[in-house]
Amino acid sequence: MTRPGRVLFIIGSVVTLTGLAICTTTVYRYLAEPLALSSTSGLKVFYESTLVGSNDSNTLVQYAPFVFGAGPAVLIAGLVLLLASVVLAAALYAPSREAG
Amino acid sequence: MSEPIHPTLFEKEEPLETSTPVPPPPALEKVDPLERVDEPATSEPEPSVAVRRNPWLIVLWVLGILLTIAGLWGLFQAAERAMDPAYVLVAGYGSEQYRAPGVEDFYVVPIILASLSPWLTALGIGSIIAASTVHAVQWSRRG
Repeated sequence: MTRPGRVLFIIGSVVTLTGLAICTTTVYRYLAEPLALSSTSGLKVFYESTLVGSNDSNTLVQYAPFVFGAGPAVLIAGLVLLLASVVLAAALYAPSREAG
Repeated sequence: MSEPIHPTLFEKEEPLETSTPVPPPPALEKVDPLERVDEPATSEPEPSVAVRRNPWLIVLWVLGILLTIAGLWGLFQAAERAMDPAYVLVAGYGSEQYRAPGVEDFYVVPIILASLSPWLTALGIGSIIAASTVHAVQWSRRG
């Protein structure tokens, strides 16, 4: 892999990991903040999510509709950079004479 | 100085015997010049298969196929989960076990899949197109 490809790979990895972290944080924050039951909210009623560490899974709660935010955009941008680095490496690949 | 430096140079040549028949020289093979036009100009040996194989191109093909499959699977899953399931299958088809759907099944997972799957599919198809383009460029350079 050439030096520009390597730099692109490192930047892509950092951006992808950042996007993953943003997505994970968004999901956990959303699940950790259930709403109180309300008959007039028009929202579905669920058992409290067990993903956030609640021991009592029989508690009924409501959740606001989930909004993902900027996480997927950052994640996809990182994946684009990673793929661009692989494309660059494939296009500029020069086999070494010693390998044969 | 009586002996010559190179005795072989001063050896007596035997006289040619004119009576012995001289065999005719072998006939030259007629070569059609048009037959060898497409031979390579250089005499360098062909690189081995291991050298010619581009590992990054293989990575690109694998990534393209995997991303496309993952994106299409995510699209189907998002469409299936958007149908408001009354229960969720949690065990295999041999011993089915169901549970009541949670907020993850209604809100989180479908939105994650619906957000990421189209992009993953596009990236996978883009990777396959890029790999095909690199193949085409290498092919045109070789020809």
